Amino acid sequence: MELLCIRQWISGLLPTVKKWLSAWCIKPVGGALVRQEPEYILLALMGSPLKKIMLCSSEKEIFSVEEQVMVQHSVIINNMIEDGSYNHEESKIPLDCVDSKTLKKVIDYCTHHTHHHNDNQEDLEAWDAQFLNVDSNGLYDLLMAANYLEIRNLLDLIYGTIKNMIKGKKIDEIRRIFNIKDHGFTPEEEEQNRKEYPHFY
Amino acid sequence: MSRRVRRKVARKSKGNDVVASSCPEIRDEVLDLELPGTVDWRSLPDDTVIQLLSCLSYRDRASLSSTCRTWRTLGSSQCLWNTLDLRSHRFDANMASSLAPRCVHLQKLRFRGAESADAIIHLRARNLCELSGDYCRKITDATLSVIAARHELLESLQLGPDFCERISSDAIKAIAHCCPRLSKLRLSGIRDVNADAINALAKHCPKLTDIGFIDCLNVDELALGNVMSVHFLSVAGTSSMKWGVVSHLWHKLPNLIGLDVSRTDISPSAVARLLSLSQSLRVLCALNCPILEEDTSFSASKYKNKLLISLFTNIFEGLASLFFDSTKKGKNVFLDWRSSKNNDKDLNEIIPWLEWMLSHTLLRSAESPQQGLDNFWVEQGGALLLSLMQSSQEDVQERAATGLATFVVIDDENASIDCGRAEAVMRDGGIRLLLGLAKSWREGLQSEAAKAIANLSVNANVAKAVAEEGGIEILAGLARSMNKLVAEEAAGGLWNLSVGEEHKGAIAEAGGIKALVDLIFKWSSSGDGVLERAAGALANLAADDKCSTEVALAGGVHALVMLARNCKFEGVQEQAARALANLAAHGDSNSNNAAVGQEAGALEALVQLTRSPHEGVRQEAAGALWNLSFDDRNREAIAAAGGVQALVALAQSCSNASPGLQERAAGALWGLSVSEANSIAIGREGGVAPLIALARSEAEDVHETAAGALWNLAFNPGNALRIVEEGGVSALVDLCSSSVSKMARFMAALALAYMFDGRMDEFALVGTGSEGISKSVSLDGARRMALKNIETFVLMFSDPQAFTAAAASSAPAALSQVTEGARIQEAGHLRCSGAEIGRFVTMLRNPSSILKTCAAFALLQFTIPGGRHAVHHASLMQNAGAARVLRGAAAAATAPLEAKIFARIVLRNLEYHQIEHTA
Repeated sequence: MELLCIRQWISGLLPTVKKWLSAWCIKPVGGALVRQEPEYILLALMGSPLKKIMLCSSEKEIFSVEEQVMVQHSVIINNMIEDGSYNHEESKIPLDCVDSKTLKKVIDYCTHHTHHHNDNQEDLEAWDAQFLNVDSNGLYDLLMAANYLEIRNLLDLIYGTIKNMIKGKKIDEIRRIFNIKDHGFTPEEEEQNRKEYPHFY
Repeated sequence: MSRRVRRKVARKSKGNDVVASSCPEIRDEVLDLELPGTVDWRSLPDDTVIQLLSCLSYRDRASLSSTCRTWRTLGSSQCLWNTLDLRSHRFDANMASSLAPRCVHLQKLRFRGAESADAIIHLRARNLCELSGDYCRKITDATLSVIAARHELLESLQLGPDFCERISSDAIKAIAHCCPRLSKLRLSGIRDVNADAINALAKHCPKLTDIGFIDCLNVDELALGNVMSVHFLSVAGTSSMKWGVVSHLWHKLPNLIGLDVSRTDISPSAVARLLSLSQSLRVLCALNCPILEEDTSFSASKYKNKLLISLFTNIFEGLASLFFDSTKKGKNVFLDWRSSKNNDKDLNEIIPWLEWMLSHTLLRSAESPQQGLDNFWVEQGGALLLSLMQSSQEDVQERAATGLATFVVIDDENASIDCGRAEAVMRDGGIRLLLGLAKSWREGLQSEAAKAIANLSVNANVAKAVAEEGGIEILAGLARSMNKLVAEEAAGGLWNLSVGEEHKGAIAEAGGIKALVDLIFKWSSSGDGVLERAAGALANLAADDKCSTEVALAGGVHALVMLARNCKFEGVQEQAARALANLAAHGDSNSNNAAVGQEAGALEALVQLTRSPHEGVRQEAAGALWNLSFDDRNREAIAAAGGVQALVALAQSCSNASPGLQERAAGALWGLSVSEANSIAIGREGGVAPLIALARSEAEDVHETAAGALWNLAFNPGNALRIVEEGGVSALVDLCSSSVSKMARFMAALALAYMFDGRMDEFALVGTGSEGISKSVSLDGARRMALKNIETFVLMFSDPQAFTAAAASSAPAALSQVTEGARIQEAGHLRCSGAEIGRFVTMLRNPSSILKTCAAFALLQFTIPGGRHAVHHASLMQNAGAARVLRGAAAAATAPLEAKIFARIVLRNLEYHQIEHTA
């Protein structure tokens, strides 16, 4: 049930974020998964000088991240920690719509920007540029993940990149970029579009 | 061949385009998404799409919305259409009608120009609250009254900073009657704001708290005393205020917190009365008020809790002391205020108002430079502008950036800027700040920041700092903008940065060249300013060998020729011609010279441009033709396109023109006259007389070039005779004996040598009838004078001691010493044809020992190892069998010592080149 809710939010309308959060994150996700993940147990046993939190990808892979890193960047996780709905002993945060590859990148981003926020602007920009050097699918996944976790600066970075991608492009080129095959316009509407913005085609 | 580089400060213009959105500009386009992925992006959540749309320019927004039905619907969401900034768009009734369905909830609108103002009502944006327009000189009472009538919810109306000369009190009355919710009214340059209008405002607009009648001619100060609701009032720059009345009345305004009287003739006593009597007043802004400033004894420190801002107060300290706990002292008071969670309600109104008024006054003061403000600008003004650039109000930021762009310029025409001010900006971290703004996503800021960077970069130190902070990449990025104004300022920046050698490579590396060429194609039909700047930058870049190759690779030749052919704007023509000239200036190292000539219509267009009414255009076109004539095929093509007639006409008409034009006119004729056919045509068209006139010029560059042209012309006996007839001998003799330029002297001597080596005499005898005798008499006189001067000239380069040494020994060192003494460095650039070399070889056998020496001297110059064309000349001489003649000359008993030694050196040069050649 929970998973469904999350999916719906991602693909659809605009519920207030807080409400949905409290709906799914109060209850820690089942213990069975934890036992299946030796890495988690290991980390838990070793303990860590820095407080860590657990993130679980759609493939049920678990990532352990410094709490501070995620709290600083993700509004959602910050809210969870603040309102006490995350239990450091038992909880892990299920991110069922974020695959491991994307989650790893997101964590990379947050970690780098936490530890290097004093670097000079140019180095940071170069790092960002390298970070976003991904294909269209990768960018889509990152956008979805950043949106889901509400990572404001990553979102802005991605919007900026997309903005540059489509800047000055013609409509058919933009369709190719976004892989839009079925635009849903009737031939008449398409003709109308072409008439209205002849220079965009 | 010459190349020219010139710098230019971008012209002042105001304001620009801003799009509401919230994402940073990414410098690098890292993604190559030509290969589409497998994800259908239509499955993005709606809010994400809307956020994305909000980042885009209107054009991209429309494109994206037209890609599919889902996004079409999202694209007309209300939240995307709360604000509209139409300043960089052509906005007319048609466009307004097509936007209308989306504008039901439009709150804020910025527009530019009277035509746009007329179209506003067609948006049918009944809920509009804020309206702001610039370039409103032509906006009329009728337009403004209709706008007021159709937007009854209007709360804020701002028109300026251009003077709204056609708006009268009637329109203000109409506004008062129609817009009861009005709280802010700021108008610039109204002729007369009468009591009726102000009383109507007082009566019908109870919420009116912020009034600005800025730069008006007449404002009824008595009536203003009736507007009880006013908190903030500005009459900055408004003349003929009765300050006596004001100071006795306005202090009674119960709510007045801020008053701006900058740039007026307010007196110290009026200021004192206002400060001491008003209960509510907290800030009095009186910047640049001459009468107040003259009174050095005036001090406002005794007025507790009241701040006076003027040129003689420490503005930063004043602001800090009044508003903040005094621990924070620095140049970031505005920033501190924003970051502090201040609950002083007054303050939250005062600061934005103050920012706005200060930025306005500073810009106005920067625009009309006056004496005595130097200290202010260096110590406070620059820092204030930088601080205002960080305001949260967009128009304040823009105005501050424009102010920075303006206040450093001393002289718009000569593009000179004030070093002290520029370096003050740099010292206060201004470069980084400006580059930061240039990187922002708001296009209005991008363009103003780019303009400031452009102007500041005229200073070499600033340019260096800009380059070091990554500014070149940022500007190259902005030059790719779809917004014309942004692209224009960025191109201006690249123009100024491309002056000198330091930054050309970096511009090329940042992709600037391609961006500039693309700009020309993108705006080829509609962008005078942007085209001029792009062409100007390309012209500077083309002066560099490597960059010029890149310009050609990027399609620059085609683009620039297109401008030269089609563009009607003189500034653009001038820069395009200059760029073509510089492109063609690398005759030996790349093929651009030929490439320009082969571009269809290029030479015809340039020939046409030499007839332009604009001197700069004529000059650059002639320069381009000069450089292009380096290529044999171009030379003939230019002549075929009517170049000879055009350039002769240009030379005839340029006696009062600038040295630059004179030089290039002579130079182009020089270039063309390399072929004898052209040379004859130039003589026939009447080119000799104007060239002689130019040879008499004081300017070194001009007479040097004219001497070159005359030298080429003199090769032809018919022309030689013309030169004599037009009085050219004395001109050449003067050059030969007294020019500061060795080259001019050398070429004048060679021209005289051609004229009097005998060929002309034959021609003169054959060509003339009865006058033959008298002519030959005068010819003899001219000949004697010429030869005497040639002799003196050659002797100047001959050190007797070195000659004696060389005569005594055949050691190479002795000959080298003679060579060093005789060498004319620049002569290495001259390139002679086989016929010319042959003529000097023949001259070695001339009965006149002076001409013998002169010929040997010339051949020596042309064959010195290391000279640009020495190898070419040596091979011509081998072909002409010169060695035998030279040996004869070197051994002849009758020849003067100089001739013999020079001949020996030439022989040695030939051997050297032969060994080189075979090796």
